[in-house]
Order: sequence, then structure tokens, then C-alpha cells
Amino acid sequence: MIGRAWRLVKANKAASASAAFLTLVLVAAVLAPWLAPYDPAGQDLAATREAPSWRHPLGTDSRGADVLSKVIYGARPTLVIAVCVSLSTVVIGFLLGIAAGYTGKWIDAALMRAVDVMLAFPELLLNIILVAVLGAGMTSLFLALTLSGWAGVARIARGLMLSLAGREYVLSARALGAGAAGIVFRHVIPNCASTMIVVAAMRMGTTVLAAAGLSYLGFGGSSDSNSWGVMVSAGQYEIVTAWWWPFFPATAIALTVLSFNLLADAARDLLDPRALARPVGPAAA
Amino acid sequence: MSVEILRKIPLLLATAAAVAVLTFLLIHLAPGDALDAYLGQEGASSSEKTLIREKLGLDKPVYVRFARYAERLAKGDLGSIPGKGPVAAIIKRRFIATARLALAAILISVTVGVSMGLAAGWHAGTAFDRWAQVALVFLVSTPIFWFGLVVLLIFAWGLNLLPAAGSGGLAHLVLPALTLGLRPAALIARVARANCIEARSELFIIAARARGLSWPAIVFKHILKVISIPIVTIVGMDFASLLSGAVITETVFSYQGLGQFAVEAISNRWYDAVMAVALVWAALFVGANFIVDVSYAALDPRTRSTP
Repeated sequence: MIGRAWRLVKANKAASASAAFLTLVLVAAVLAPWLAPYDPAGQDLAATREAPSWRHPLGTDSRGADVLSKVIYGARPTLVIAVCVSLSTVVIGFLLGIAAGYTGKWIDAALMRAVDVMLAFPELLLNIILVAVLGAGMTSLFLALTLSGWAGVARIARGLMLSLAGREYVLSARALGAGAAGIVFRHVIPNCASTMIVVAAMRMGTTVLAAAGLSYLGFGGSSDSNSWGVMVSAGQYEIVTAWWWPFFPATAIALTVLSFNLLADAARDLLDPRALARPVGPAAA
Repeated sequence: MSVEILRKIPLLLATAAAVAVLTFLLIHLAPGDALDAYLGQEGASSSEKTLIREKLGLDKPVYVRFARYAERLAKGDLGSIPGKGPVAAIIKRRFIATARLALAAILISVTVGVSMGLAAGWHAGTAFDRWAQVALVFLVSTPIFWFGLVVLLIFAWGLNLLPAAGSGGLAHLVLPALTLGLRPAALIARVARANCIEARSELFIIAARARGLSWPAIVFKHILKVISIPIVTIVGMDFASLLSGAVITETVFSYQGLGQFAVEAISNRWYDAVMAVALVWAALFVGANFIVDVSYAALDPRTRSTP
């Protein structure tokens, strides 16, 4: 499958550009101390709000810190949050979704009503309240985005479980006396894996976007943290005097989300060829 | 209106009530003293605090406080913000501002989205269509504050035509509405494109072409009718993220709307105000879902027949 994925990514220009950009972000995150030309927290009061130049390719902020170095370091919190949140929401949502679909009856009804409420809850408002309750910081950002994100995944997983429950091989496994755990591990997980991978890839993009929005509003972390959203938030009022300060981190967020979305689209095409023929209607959206 | 739609009303009301309870629990179980927020900068001695706490009922358990809140709410009292006056008046003013912004954004997104989607769908497979697709993915993925910053930079400062911040007249509405409307416009364009491509191969469209109808005539007489249903769905389903987008847009443009007020209320721990915003927000969301269901019945004759 990896070979097929590689060929498809190579054939799909958008996907290969996205993969290349995300690799760049990953490299920046891992090798930040070696790649960044300056200390991201460093101050140089002789060189505040300097426009992009050879010395500072992306300019400097109001304290004279190098914007390029800050953007390189900013890849770290962005990727950590994206990976942790999408993994946890997909795992929690998947388990609750198949539990609801498998057991049925009141457990299903209760879980799905909870999902309805979670999906009706204005997500951004919920996130802001959760971060305000939990206190600013990466951990509470992670908890808030996980708590508000599992419901959508659970609904998809339940739908998959319901469609699998009626298939002949699941019915015959049941008839042969297979237990719930056996059916889930042997039939449900292998059959849901590809959809869940696509869902996880899609959640990466939405997570980066949501985390950036929260940071932008001032609920993402302390002002000295390096996340891109915090930088945009700090620099937004200097858009006239130092446009490069908010613009480059905001563009980094935009390109990262775009890359995750394009890769998720490519993954969907790779893993579920039927989606190619399916019209993009309300059901698919 | 069919029986099925009416049957949904209790469920919708229950959802809104659940949102209210959840919000109340969240903000009242939050660490930090509500009283400090209530007293503001001045503070008070500990014996005074005990007195005020008893007077406000803050010494009671959460469920008692919720019962009291519900009782007040039933009387139509949304509470007040210390030093700012009753919440209801502020919410009303802010709500009108946000409604104006949201309606303008929806108008922009439907106009831009439908025309872009139809143009791309009609020329499906051409270079124009491919570039339009790239533009759409870009629009869907871009954070609203990026648009906001770029729009601010280009229009308000570069061209110096429109006000960059504040709220009020029509001129203050243009840039925020454009910023907020671009992402839903892309969603609508995607759906319009897909449905336009599908409709092109429908027999009644082929027949219309065979009759010699010009393509504007076909678009206005047939295709718009076909794509109206999925577009209403998209607008309705995207309403929640439109409200979230409004929070960020209002912050970018210092627009005095409900979203900016929500951020202010949460940051300052104005509990009554947070509750009121959550209630209004949930009601809007639930209402939008209801309107989508009703307009299905109005637009799509297939849903009218009772089973």
C-alpha cells in the first residue's frame, strides 16, 4: 500500500507539493535549534520592526526578534497539537462510535444524543470556554480540542459499524459464536481503518485551524510561547507598521492547513476509489 | 409543514437546553473565584466577601445556583454585568450588528459561490475549471484572520477607500463581510459546480439544449432550481462555522458584534453574559437547522409526500 501511496502522491501534483511542504514543516520543527539563524526569544532593540532583508529574511518584530526564527520554532507546537489532537479524537470517537453501533439500544441512544448536543454546541465557543476553564497552555488546548472534536468522528464510526453489522461475514462470525472483541478486532477495525485514516488526516487540518483561531483570540497559550497563532495575535495591530510580523506566521498556518487538506483528499481518493465517482452533495459534505 | 418537522421541535429544544446546562456547569465549575470577577479591581475584605457571597447565593451548590438561574431566565431576566448594565440590552445591540454581518456575508457567499461554481461546472475539465478548483481549495483551507489581514492591508491601507475598523454604516460592513463570506463562498461553489456537472447530463437539460435554449436561459430556468436545495443545505450546515468565523472576523476588524462580546465576556468572567451568548448562539444554530428542514420541504417536492 505504501508503494501505491507513493505512486499516487507522485502522480498528484497538489499532493506531492503538500507532502513536500509538510516535510519542510516537520524538518523545521525537529531541527529548529540548528536551522533558526537567531534566538526566537532574543531581543535586539537596535533592529525593531525591520523589513525583510538579507540579514532578517522575514523581518523583525517589535522587540527586534527575528521573524524567520520564530516561524521555524513555531512549527513545533503546531505539529504537536495537530498530531496529538487528531489521534486522540479519532481513537476516542472511533471507540465510542463502534460501541454505540455494536451495542445498540439505550447505550446507542444515549451516546448519540450526547453527540447531537456536542455537535450543536458552537465549537469555537466551547473551545474558548474550555480553555478559559482549564487555564491557558498547550495541555488545555489539547484537552479542549479533544473534548470538542470526538463527536463528529463518533457519528462516522457508528455509521460504519451499523453498515458492517449487517454484512454476511460479521453475521456468520456472530453465528459461530465470536465475541464482541473478536468481531471488533478481526472485522470492524480492518474495515474501518482506511476511513479512519482519512478522517484523521482531515482532522489534522481542522485542528491546526482551530488551534490557530484560539491562539489568535488570545486563548492559545502564553504570549511568550512560539506558536504561529500567538505570533499573529501579537503582531496583528502592527499590520501597517510591520506587515511581515503577522503575515508570515499567518501564511505558514494557511499553507499547513492547505497541505493537510490536499493530502487528506489524496488519501481519500487512494483508499476509497468510490469517493471519486460520488457527487459532492450534502451527504458527502 | 409536515408532521415530521413538527416532531423535531422537542428534540431541538432539548438540544438547546442541554447546551445551556453544559455551559452553566463549565463556567461554574471553573477554578477561580467568581466573586473576584464580580468585585473587579477594588476587592473586599474576607468578611465582606462572605457576606456578598451569601447575598449572591455563591455559597450554594451548583444545582441550586442553576435552579435560581433558570428561574430568573424564565422571567426573562438575563442578568447583568457589573458596571455595564443589563445583559439583555447589550446582547440585543451586539446581536443586531452580528446579524447584519452574517447576512451580508451569506449574501456575498451565495452570489460569489453560485456564479463561480456554475462557471467552473459549465466549463468542467478546462484550464479555467482546474484553476477555479485550486482557488476553492485555497479558500476553504485559509484561516479567516489571514484573509482579514490581507484584506485590511490591500483595501483599507493600500487603497484607503474603506474604514479598517469599527462598526456602524454600510462602509464598515464591506470588508468584514467579504472576509467572512469567502470561505462559505468556496463551499457553495464546490457544491454548485458538482451539481451543475451532474445537471448538465440530465435529460431535461439536454432536451432544453436540443430545443435551442441559450445557456443563460437554461441556467436560470433549470439549473438554479436544481442546485438551490444543496445550496440551502450548505448554507444551513455551515451556519455554525459562520458564527465561529464571525468571532474572529469581528476581532480582526474591531467590529462590535456578538462574537467579540463573547470573547470579552469569557476573558472577564462575566458569567451572566457568557450564559446569554451561549443561549443565543445555541438558539441560532438550532433555528438554522430547523429552517433548513423547512426549506427542504418548500424547495424539494419529493420530501413533501408523507410515507
